[in-house]
Amino acid sequence: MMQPIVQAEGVRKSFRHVEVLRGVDFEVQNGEVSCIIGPSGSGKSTFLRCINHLERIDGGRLRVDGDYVGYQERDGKLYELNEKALASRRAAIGMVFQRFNLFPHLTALQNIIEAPVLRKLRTKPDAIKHALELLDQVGLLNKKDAYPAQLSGGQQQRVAIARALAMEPKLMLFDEPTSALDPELVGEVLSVMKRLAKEGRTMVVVTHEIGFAQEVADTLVLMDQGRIVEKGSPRELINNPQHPRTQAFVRSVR
Amino acid sequence: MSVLEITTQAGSRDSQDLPTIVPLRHWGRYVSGALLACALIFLGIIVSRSQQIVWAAIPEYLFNPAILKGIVVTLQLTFGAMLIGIALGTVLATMRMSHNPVFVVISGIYIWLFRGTPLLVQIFFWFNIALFIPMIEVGPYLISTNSLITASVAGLLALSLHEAANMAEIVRGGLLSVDSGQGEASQALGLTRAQAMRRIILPQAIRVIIPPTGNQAIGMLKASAMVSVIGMQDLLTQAQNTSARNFLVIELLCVAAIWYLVLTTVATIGQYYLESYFQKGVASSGAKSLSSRIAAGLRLPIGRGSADRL
Ligand SMILES: Nc1ncnc2c1ncn2[C@@H]1O[C@H](COP(=O)(O)OP(=O)(O)OP(=O)(O)O)[C@@H](O)[C@H]1O
Ligand SMILES: [Mg+2]
Repeated sequence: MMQPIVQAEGVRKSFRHVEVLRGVDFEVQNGEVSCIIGPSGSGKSTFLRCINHLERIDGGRLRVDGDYVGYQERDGKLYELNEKALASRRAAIGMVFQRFNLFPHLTALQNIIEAPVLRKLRTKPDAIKHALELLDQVGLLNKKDAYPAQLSGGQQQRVAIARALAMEPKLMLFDEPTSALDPELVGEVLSVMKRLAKEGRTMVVVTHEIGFAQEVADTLVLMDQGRIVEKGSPRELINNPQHPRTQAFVRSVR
Repeated sequence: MSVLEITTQAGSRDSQDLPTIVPLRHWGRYVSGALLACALIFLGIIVSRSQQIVWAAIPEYLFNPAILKGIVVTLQLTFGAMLIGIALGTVLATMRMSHNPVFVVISGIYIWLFRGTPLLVQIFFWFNIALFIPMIEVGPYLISTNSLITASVAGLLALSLHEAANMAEIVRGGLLSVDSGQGEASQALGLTRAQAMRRIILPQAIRVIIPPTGNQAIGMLKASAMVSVIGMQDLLTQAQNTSARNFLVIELLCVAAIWYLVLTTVATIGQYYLESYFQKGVASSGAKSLSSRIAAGLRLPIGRGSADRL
């Protein structure tokens, strides 16, 4: 039987008595692209951050590639991982942020090789070679020595994607990767993401770009008030939404 | 540069009647500048005419061996105390911000204690530490504390540990100034907190840390004179010793003041270069040279600042 890459069952998370995730069930299979849509404040970012343990969950189970994120299962108990082990698990999950979060004191190339070299995934010459390939793939080979401040938002986000890919992750998380961009820069980032999807990468994408979701998503889920209220193929969900929440949301973004 | 841009833009539309740009004149700045210069010259004349001061003594003692020895002591103390202070302060700041409650409490108490008591008291304290701990055991040996903690060691120790507490707060402020997304991006890439701190957070915090640290170093040049209370022969103490013999009190204070000014000037220039070095990756340059700022403010045609302020 195929084991899902992401398997969430009844995931709960609260911030000071406010329950933000109220039992999220979610699955992503290997090679699948799953898009999460939903109104602001519904907990999409929080859920994504739980997947790589940037937030600790308060209840439920959340496994990535069979392992609990942040915990080791032994004799029916979950032991919290030490920092090193947690870092290794996170290294296998790439994340792309809404606000890019490139390292401003490093050039594009240095941004990309930093983690692979520090984590000893590659030697430095090898990492540079790989980074140049990645920069080429996102169309920014000529910007390898530019600092983030010298790049447009779209270029920064493409470097950020290359930086995440440099760790050869088995799963890529995208948190509204185009929301901070000027409209004319959205396309260049989406086209990079579309190519990744075609190459068969496993991706979870929080997005407001319905068109993108319709084109590349294998499954589309709608999150509302800390729950996943509807899931299905993008076609079904957008053209024939069942849940009243989905109907309202789809109407609002149309 | 902006003039050029305007010219080309206007030229493409209509090259006939280019309007001449007359920069705004700040007449008040010229007048107040001239008044200040007059006042300074006047003051200089009064002071230099004074019969009580032996002006010739100042150049005579400027390179006196005792004074030069004092400068060496002052520099050693300042460098030593700043180096230890910065290193220990950085450790304390990272402890303060760690998730380990023991570290947080230890650094909290340290900063509270060493920042909360006068430097003078701390100098006396370290000098008299033998009253509390008469002997120190190093492996199989027993050493009397007094032979280990000499005046120089006590002075350096007091200045360093006091400085570490101040630097800890400066470094902490710098670390807090770095966007939290930087730490998250590092974690998401699989870096440990220590790696993220060393490679990502600290290098960005340095830009914020350097200016107040330069301030601390300049303060330390002067504060190091306090070690005279335990008999260390720094610059100011040497000057005072000399004047106790020849009664040229003001003259030797002037000599010391001149040297302190020289040292702080060199430190300020060093700080400027350090700041510009760490500006890399930052779009706007906050650190413009003083001369170009003055030139720009008065619209003098010197320095590079004049054109881009138009
Ligand atoms: N660190 C935090 N501390 C307290 N509350 C938080 C924190 N992070 C998120 N929240 C709250 O949790 C709720 C869900 O936030 P989240 O960012 O996950 O929503 P979202 O679906 O990503 O929204 P958006 O589309 O605006 O990004 C919000 O009400 C938010 O205020
Ligand atoms: Mg969000």
